[in-house]
Amino acid sequence: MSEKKEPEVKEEEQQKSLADYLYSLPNAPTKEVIDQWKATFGDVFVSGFGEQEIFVFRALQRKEHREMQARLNDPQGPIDQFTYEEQVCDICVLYPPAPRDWEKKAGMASTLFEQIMLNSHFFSPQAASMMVLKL
Amino acid sequence: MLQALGEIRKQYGSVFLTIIPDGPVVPWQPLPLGSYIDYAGVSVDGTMPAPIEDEIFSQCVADKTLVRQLDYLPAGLISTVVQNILNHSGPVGIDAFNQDLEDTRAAVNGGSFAVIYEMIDTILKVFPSYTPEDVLAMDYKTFLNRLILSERRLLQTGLIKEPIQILHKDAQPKKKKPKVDLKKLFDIQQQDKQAKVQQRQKPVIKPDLDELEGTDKWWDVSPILEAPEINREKISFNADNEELDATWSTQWEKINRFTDPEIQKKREQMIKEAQIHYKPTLDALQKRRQAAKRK
Repeated sequence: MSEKKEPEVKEEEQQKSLADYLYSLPNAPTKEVIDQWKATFGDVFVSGFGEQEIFVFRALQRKEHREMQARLNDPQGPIDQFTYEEQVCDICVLYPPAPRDWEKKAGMASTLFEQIMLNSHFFSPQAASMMVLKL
Repeated sequence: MLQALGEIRKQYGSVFLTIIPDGPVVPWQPLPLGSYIDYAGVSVDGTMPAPIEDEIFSQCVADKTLVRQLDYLPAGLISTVVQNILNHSGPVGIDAFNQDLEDTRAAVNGGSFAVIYEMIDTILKVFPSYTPEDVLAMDYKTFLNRLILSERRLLQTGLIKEPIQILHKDAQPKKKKPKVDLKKLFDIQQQDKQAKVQQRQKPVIKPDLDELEGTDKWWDVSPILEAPEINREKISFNADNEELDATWSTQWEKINRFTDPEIQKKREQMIKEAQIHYKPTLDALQKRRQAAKRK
């Protein structure tokens, strides 16, 4: 009897989505809040590094990108690449709310930055060339 | 999808599209070549500064709604679209440029419409005030009219001999009747062949017979051998070197060249060899003299 129950439990666990894990976290955003974010920022994305490490973020906007580029190339005191990545994450991450500790795990900010840039439509030249059509 | 593309074409005409997966469709036109050169010079290590990208985006994107919302669009959308614009506005690299040349060469020279490009070229040659864009903007009837005018002028000036006609790819050109009498041509060729054979048999040396005719001798006159006997004794090779040792004197002044057997032998040998070598010249001279006598 117990052997029959275990596969059923595993199937239930597999069916649990990222959204389900998100909603189970403390101070997680409600669906209404997420809809509000979508209305303000457009598409909203969720990324999970673990059951307790789930991030909700949006795409980086053009004007924010210009400002960050200016900070990166500031002749009076440019920021380094790591700071740049963390600051982009701070701009785009909607959940968990600030302040966020990027020091906990070395690759967290860098990986999240890559995901943000990909969802902000930054593509490789080869991928970009595949998207062109001539009418 | 096709309907959407049709709508876009209806709205913007013939444009390029950047289709972002799960994202917007951005219609754009490439930059003019001069602008491309200007912008290409601005890039640093292949990266275009964000404000310049925004400028190119604003200039080239046909959908002005997107241009107005530029600041709030996903940051990478502008970079991706501008990348595509630059790739289609000018050469990307040497290999890509050579490939683009090859592709265009195949399309213009060997494609389905190669013959039309040739006709356009004909019109441009006869009417230099037209530009390629002017001809391409003509309707079909006007194009044919200009082509026939070009043909007429070319026929009048003799640059072409027949009216313009397009042949099928597999059609062979009509064989024309030869205008030359083949028998005559064959006889001329045979004569040329014989002349070449005779030329080969003749020796290389061709002496000037006119020069030789006035002289009795056919070798250069030797002052030593031809001097009269009386004067020969007066020739002294040692005249300038009277103080030289006897071993250095030539002793020639003591020898009679016409009686000395050794010298005679050598002289006869020399004459025999010269007669063999110059035999054709001697024969030619002989013939000439005989012909002159007959006259």
